[in-house]
Amino acid sequence: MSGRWRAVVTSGLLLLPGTTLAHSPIEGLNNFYNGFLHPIFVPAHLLLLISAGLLVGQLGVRENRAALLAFVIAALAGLIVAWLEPGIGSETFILAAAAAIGLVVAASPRIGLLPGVVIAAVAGFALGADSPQESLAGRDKLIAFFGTGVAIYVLFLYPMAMADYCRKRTWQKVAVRVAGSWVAASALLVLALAFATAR
Amino acid sequence: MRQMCRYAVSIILITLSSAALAHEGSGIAGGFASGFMHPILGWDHVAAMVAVGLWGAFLGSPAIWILPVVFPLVMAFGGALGVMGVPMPAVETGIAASAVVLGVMVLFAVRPPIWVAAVIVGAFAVFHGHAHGTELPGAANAVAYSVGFVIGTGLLHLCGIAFGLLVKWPAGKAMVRAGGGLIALAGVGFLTGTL
Repeated sequence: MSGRWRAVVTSGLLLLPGTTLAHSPIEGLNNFYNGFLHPIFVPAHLLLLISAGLLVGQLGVRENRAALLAFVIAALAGLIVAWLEPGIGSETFILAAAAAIGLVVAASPRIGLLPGVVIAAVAGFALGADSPQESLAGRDKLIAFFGTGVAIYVLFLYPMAMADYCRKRTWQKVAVRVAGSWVAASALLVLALAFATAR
Repeated sequence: MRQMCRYAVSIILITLSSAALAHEGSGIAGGFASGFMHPILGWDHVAAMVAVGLWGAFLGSPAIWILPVVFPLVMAFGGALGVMGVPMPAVETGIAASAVVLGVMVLFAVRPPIWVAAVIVGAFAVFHGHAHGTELPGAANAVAYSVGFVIGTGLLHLCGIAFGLLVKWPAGKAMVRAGGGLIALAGVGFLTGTL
């Protein structure tokens, strides 16, 4: 093979590989993962998911299966609303809810079944409604919404399962309350910032 | 000999260069990192946070878990004051004084009623929160910054609690009290400006 052919083949081979993205969650990912990563990349959503999950787990999953069901149905309803009315969600409301639920987790009062269901439903709906995929349409949007729904559910399950596991253990039970106070403190600070900026 | 000189110069030049950071401090990661490092890189914060954990462990249950729950919440209140620009006099003095007072409490194994301990810790938490809060508006991502510094603060408490658990043994008790003494001394250093 002559030198010129070698150069042509090498150049051809160099052109073949696609772009390597070091951080592909946005550009290189398909719509499902884009939707899936939405609650992870929005820290306010993550705070609400953690606090709501901790609360239901702290109350006991076996006794509060209705709260889990309410969360899932409300999140689905919220996603449908986000599809139909993209601007309805509010990050400030999500932070306020995260702060309030975090305080409840930190105080660890005995609350009944109904308040638990209502809190879980409000959290689920708020998260779904604040997850519009405005830049997408049609099938792409549906797939992204599916990803977001799965992520909301999965990210809710982790803290819930952890808190449920810890509720009968002295030290771990305290750790759940401490985590609740951390969420509340973080959310309260950002709310203060939002209030100060709005003035 | 000339080659050795070349090697020596090359090595010196390599050691002079600063680290190249692939992930600069922007966005969520930057906000989280700067928030997380804020309490950890300030020695006055570190001393006071560790002292809170040590004192909680010394006071035993329920103080050991009430103090780490109360502190972040009151700190958030102080942070909110800082964010909203509410002036607070002598913030740095208050932070340094927190190290002195909490260190002395551990040194002398003071065991007040739990509400007194919570009020003392809470009062100092306002100063610490105010200092963190004033940094918040300039953060790359406000939520990530808040999460980072609350977690950073909490982990410092945890360090104090873990060390404080040594009080179960007589020698450990002496070590924890000595730790309190060191923190109080460091606090005096912060107050006088020698540290």
